[in-house]
Amino acid sequence: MKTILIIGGLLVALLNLLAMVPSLENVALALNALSIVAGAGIAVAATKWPSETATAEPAEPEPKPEPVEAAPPPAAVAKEPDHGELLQLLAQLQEKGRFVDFVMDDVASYSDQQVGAAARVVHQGCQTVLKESLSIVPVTDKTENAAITLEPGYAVSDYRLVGKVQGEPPYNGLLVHKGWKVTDFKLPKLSLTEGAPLPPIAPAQVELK
Amino acid sequence: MDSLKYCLGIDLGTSNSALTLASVEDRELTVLPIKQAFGPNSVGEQSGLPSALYLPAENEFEAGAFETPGVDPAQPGFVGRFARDHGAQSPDRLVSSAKSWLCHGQVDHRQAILPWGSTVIPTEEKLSPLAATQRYLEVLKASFASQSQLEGANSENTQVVLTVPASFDEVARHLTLEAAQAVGMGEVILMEEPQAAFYAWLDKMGGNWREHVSPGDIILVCDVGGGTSDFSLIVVSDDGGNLQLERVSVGEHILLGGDNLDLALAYALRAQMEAEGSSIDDWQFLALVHAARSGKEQLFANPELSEVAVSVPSRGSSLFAGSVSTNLNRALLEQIALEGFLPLTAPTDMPQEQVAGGLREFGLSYAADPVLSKHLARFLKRSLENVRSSESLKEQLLPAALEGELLSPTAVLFNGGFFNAEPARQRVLQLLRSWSNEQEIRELSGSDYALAVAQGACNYGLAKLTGKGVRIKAGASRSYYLGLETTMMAIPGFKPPVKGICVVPQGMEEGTEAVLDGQEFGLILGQDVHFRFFSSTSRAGDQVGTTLPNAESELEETSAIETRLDPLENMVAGEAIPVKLHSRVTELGALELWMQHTRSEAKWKLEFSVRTE
Repeated sequence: MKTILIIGGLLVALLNLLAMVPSLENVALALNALSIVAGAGIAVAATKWPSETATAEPAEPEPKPEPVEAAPPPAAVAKEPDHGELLQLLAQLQEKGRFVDFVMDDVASYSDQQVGAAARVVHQGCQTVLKESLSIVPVTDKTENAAITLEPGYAVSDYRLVGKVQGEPPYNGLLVHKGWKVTDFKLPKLSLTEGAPLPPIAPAQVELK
Repeated sequence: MDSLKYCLGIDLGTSNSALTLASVEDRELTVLPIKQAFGPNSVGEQSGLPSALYLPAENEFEAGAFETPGVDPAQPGFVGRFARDHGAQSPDRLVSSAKSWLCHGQVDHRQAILPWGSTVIPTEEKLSPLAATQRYLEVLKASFASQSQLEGANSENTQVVLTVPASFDEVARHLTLEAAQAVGMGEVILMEEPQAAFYAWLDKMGGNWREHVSPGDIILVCDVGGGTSDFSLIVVSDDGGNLQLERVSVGEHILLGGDNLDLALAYALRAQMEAEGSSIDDWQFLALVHAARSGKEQLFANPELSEVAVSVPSRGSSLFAGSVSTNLNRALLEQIALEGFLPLTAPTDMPQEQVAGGLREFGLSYAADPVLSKHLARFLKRSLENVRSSESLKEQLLPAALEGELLSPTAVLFNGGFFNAEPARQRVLQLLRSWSNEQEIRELSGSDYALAVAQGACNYGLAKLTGKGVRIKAGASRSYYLGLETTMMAIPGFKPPVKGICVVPQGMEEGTEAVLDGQEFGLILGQDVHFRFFSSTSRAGDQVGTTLPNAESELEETSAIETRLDPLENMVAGEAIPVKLHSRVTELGALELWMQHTRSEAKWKLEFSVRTE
């Protein structure tokens, strides 16, 4: 789990950095799209294993907590990350969208035109993979760069407050990014026998003539 | 029938298959995802199953890497998306277009011949067109068996409706049914794809469909898929105040579709890239075909765009160094898609036939002429001949419709991925108008071009189970003839013509039987009997017993039929007995021929087989 978040975070950072390189302005759009891809990877991870994120901070109390006598909430257990699941998604992103090639290549030594040509391949392929293996929707339908009010009881984990954070909700602010979340998973399943080594993201290709 | 509570519609496509499921109770259609190999040790779900089967070399993948739940692991190879994608790079091991081989007239459909022409796979490891079809159905069945969308549906309580092209002849229909029964699909009935598309449209319109059509309407169902095109005509007539629908004509199996367009675009783009100074290899060409398809879709979807960039990735891992791109502009797309495939030809322009003479590679008979307009013209010309030949069909049409070169439709229902492109639909309508003195021709819109066949199959099954809903009058799509050698004096250098006797008239309905009364055969018990068999899609007027003097020139030879009249009780081998030919169209939509002893209840079934010449 942690691995996915770290890798995903790195990808977002890397792609956003790339988007800021002035010479790459005309591919910035594609790079932004890619950072969304990576961001979505995090969203996947975050939604898929919600119990693990619960360790970070206690959730906001419900507006009207029912006085029910219940067992104490189960303590959060840090599970082993599922590397197989991660590899499945990466393998699809690589196979259809050359995602790993794109990120692992040295971008500095190529022209915008070359990077742009590659970005189109990546954008088209990764978009196809994400659309078919996940249902990705914005966290909010509100317009970006417009005022937004977060009422008491809002889904805390869906929103990240930045700037002058103080007091109780309602919070009145500006929506800077609409966010992304996954509502449905249709990831392929890995069927490996117990103890078998994990497959590579992409096998080396050898052509026989 | 009461035990059937669900209906499963199967669109068993040449390049893609799809499943829909509904319960009789709420009639709500669900598209079932299909479990298939996405890679070694990876099983994914998507709404379609590419009709591709890959036969790996012994050490190509780890053992058991393609085990899919519910699919027999002992069978060689694997089916679906990864088979198609990987097989594109190793075509010698890829079985594809099995469906078109099923209706190929000159091969034995039970003989292991696929992958066709492959030299890397020994004959004993190849698959027959029938076996390949079974494998696709097996994967579809496994997904149905493990579905969670409609709890309680299983192969015991589900009516299966399996679609086949309208152009399928009796042999191909028979084989499809046999494949479905071999994998244990349960209760299966066959239906024609263009009709299924029409049922889907009827269902989409709900109760309003009568507002969209009127008596005298001739509706063309124009289905252009990835690899094949299939046409049918449905006529609307007034039957005592009710609107009646009858399928009056079906087309031939045309191996021409959207894939041809994508390939043509890719060739043009490769030439353009080479002119721009970059070159691509064969692997990159495959990627270019995909890129060209998606470029085409973008341009057709957005009329504002004048061009889109098309990129082809490098083969090696350095994406930046090796990727090549070019622009697909609208002028090129329109030139290839509209002027190349759907030019405004004259109604008398017929497709060019394969040039006779010379050696030609034997294989699938791909359309020699890529111009779809001409194939459509030929279909409409034959349809007119067909309708003119039958009094009962003529009565259903307005007299004006029977004049001219072609039977001009008054409305069109499009189907198949090719028609997702609005300009392609507009062009077909424009073409048809040009053939009918610029009369208005309507588009019956609202269908899902990719899923309508699977949906319509399900709609039809529900209507059949509940007895509610509109039915298209159809019956046998063509008439069938038995070939008999004429007895005449032998003349050197002259081959006596073969007479054709009609044994099944066009439109013969499911669940009915006919007897060829005028002809009695004297057959000898214990000997093999062999007949030639012919069919026609343009002789609706022929009745059982209608005799044509020269079958070879007027009809299409479809298969041979044979049987061995093994002696039954109280009969001895060598004895000559009088028999009559009985034909029957079963409830499932299959044609059966029987030899019935005229003096007892004894009868022998005739089997279809491949003609050998």
